[in-house]
Amino acid sequence: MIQIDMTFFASILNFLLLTALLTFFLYRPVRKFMMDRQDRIKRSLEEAAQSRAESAKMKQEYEARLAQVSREAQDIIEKAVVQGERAQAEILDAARKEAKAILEQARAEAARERQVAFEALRDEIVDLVISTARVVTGKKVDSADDEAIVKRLLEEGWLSDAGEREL
Amino acid sequence: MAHASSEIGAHLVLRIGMFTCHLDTIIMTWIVMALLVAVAVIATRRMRDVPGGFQNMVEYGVEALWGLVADNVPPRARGCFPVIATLFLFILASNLIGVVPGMKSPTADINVTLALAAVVLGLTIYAGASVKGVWGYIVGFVKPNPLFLPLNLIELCTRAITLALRLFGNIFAGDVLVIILGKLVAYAVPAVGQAFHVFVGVLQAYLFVMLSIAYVTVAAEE
Repeated sequence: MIQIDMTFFASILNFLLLTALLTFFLYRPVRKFMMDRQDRIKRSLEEAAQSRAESAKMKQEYEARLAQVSREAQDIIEKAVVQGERAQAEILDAARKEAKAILEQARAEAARERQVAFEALRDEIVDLVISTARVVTGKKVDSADDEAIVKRLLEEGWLSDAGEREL
Repeated sequence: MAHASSEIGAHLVLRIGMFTCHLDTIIMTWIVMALLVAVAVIATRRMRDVPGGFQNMVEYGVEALWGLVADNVPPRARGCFPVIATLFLFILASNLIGVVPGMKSPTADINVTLALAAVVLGLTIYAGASVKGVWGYIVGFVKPNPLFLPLNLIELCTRAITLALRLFGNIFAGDVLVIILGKLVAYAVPAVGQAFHVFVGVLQAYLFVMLSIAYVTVAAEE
């Protein structure tokens, strides 16, 4: 049997009470939790995007700095090469000059020594000639005049240029 | 207290002076309320950022109901969400609890469905008045001309009454069908009847809520 009575009002009260309870225990906590989680995820994504942007910027800066450093290194290398070449040329030049000087000095030294040796040999030859002449002639040939004669003979042709060269 | 007979639609009637109420309906309503509140408390006790199965289901349910309201109701009237969501959950739980042996659907009582319809009527008036203002909402009843006032008032009440009668009729009929099938046939056929009752229960809950949202939306439109 269909009968409308106080159940109607009790049902309204029950429903309003249930609405209040579910709002307090279900809708509000769930929606708040979901919105907080959404905010957290959104914030995380924003932070990730910001980090990515910062990383990209840092990478760009590093690349720019790297390129600059590379350029500077290249400049330094080029300058060093130029300086090295210049130093090399200078050293070579100095070495050449020094070698030339040493050579000239050696030549002068050799000429001087040859001259000394030649004079010593000539003195020996003079002595030998005088001794030989004394033996051959049986005369004493050791006076200063005789020695001067022999030296003059030698200088005038006894010992020719060929003889000097052989010495 | 008067005992109900075993006839279909009979209730356990509690008499307090000149007033009466259906005690069985009240008790079943409290059971449904207790179930819903218990589920709500358990679901929101330890919520995690990565939801598990139960939390996921509850979040999905709340979000789906919010989506229904947000997609249809103008922003200024979205405060009706708790009422709309509770209407759906209460009607669904009330309809389905009748399937359990020994339980009765509170919505198989015309008092309950009329109460729910009255809530929707009140919500409709509140939404209209809050968006248009009290005077603006009242003026809306005499449009396009004052002759339409009775028609508009009848329409407003009819909407609520049809909501109540549709829900009551379907659920009451479902309960009757389950009882009759149970008495006529022993096994498989009552199970089919119960499955049909479940289907009707879900459908009617959805229908009631969608119509309520439509009425609120119409009332709240500028």
